[in-house]
Amino acid sequence: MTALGREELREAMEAPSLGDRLVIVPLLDPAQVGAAAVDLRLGTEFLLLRRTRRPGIDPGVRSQADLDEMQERVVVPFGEKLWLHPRHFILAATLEYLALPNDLCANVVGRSSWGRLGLIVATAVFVHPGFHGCLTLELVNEGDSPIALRPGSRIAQLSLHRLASAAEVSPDEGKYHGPVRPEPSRLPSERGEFDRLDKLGSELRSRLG
Amino acid sequence: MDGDPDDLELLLATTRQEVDALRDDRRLAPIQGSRGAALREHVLDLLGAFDHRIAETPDAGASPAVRRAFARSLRQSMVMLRGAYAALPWLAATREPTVNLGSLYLAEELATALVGSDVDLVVVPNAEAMYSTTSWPFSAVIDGTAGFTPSASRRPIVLNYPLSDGDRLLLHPLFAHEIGHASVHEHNLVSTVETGLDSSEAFSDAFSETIQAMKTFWPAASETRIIGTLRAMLRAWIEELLCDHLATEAMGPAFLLAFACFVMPLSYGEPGNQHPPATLRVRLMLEHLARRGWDPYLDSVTPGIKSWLTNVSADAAGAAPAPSFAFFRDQLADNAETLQDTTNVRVGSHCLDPAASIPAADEAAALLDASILPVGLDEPLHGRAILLGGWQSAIRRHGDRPEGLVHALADRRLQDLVGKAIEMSTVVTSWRATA
Repeated sequence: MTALGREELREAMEAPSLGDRLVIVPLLDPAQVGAAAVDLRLGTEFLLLRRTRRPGIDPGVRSQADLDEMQERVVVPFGEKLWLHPRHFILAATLEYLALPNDLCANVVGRSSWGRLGLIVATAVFVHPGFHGCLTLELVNEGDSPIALRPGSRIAQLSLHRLASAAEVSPDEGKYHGPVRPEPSRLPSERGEFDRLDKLGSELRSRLG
Repeated sequence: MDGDPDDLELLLATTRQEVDALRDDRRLAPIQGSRGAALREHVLDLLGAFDHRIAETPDAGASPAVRRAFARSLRQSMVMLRGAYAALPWLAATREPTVNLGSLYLAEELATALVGSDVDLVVVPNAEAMYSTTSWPFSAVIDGTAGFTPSASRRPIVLNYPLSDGDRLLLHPLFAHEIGHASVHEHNLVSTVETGLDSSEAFSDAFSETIQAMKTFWPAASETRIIGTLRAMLRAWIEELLCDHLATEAMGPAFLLAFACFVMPLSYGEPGNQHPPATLRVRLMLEHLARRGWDPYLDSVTPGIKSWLTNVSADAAGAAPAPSFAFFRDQLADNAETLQDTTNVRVGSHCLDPAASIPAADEAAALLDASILPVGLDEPLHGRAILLGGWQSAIRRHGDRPEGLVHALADRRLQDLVGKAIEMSTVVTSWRATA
């Protein structure tokens, strides 16, 4: 895999065919395209974990509806702020919508300027070839002071890499295809695997009689 | 009968209590920015009007008739004071939007285009299943309080949408019709049309004939009552049709498609006292779109649905259940161009021009077909063109037939993209303005 520099990024974003083009919209400022990465901004929608009287989150037991119910959607328009308090965890989405062609994949990391304030921006980190949508960002304030989050702030960086050969991607592949807002965890869709792991555990426990 | 001294005491105490309770509510606290600020001022004007009325309470020495009249007036206004509680969730919605930002920005743009820039718009869900609009909701009491001067100057408009439709972006062209009501009132458009009709000899003759026919149809009514009823219904129909035409000017074919999707399952050819039959409305919208140059677009993008709606509109000429309905239908159909021209003048340069909008809608539809946010690859697309492109893509995906409209409404992903694209288009345009 080869990392894309500024010129290659621009070329990828101007590919004549829509299917081959790297789409990052809207790009409010052309300067977001840096030497080897593209700055991504914070969007306007967030998912906050509700306080609950339930014992906890077990994705192998919970339904998707259960999990969704534990999260509250919040819209913060431009010009307003969301205060992230110490040790609080929220999901956000990038302002930009990405469409990666099948020969590009990407990595997302938080910008160090925010990290030095205590804000950890984790994501699924790896973005698959052919991904379409806004990226969900997992934000945690690891510092001791509340941090104001403004929609539109440059919060993360996307570095892109070209594959040796284009991946085969079906248009509707993936659990998170085409999101425009932060997506909750879809682990309950892997219930079958959790069930199998439980079964495996039972098998192993009963081996000696 | 009102007038017992204790009764007046009860009224005054109740009024003071309700005014204080409303003033203390945190949702009436000052608002950052302009959204909701005029509505808040309007509510405060209502409370101010009640303060003024309390201060004007006739003293114990006043005549019983004066005290009785005062009590009656206060009691009649009490319903509106209680009704002011409805404004509190409206004000809360200005702090935390209840509808997606794309739809909110679209509604605000429509308010500017149709009514003017001097408005305040609040968009809120309503448990009732219909779209509706209220302007100056408490003006009856404020304006009826002699000697009180209100401070609100911008028109507050409350736009309600059904709870079910918050994320159904493809129906949001209906916002244009609702905001049209505020435009019609602000600019006295019904009077403009009515005056034009009255100056026509053919209209006056037909009106006289209808009065005679109604005497047979409704023998118990006096001529004065018949004329009053006909005038009120005529004004109501003109207002509804003006709102349809304003929405057609502002949204182009997207309004027709949203109308067909939302209204046609609820009504067909039945005329009402407030609403013309859907068949007539569809006919006039199709004529309006053709006159503005949208026919080639409809023929290319949705020939099947256009053909269905053309058949629907043919039923507008069917038998009417009363002479009055036939009179309204025939006169308003004959004077359709007057209605269209009135709205065209009002909307002016804010109309959705086919020459500029069709290429933008085509681009938006192509991006949606490729599952790409249709905000525009080079330049931001206009929000209303994005919505039209949304319909275009939806019809391609779900079929160019009536049933396809229903499936389009169930396409959550497409409508999410349309809403986010309208939001982002507005953000980009405003961002550039800040440079």
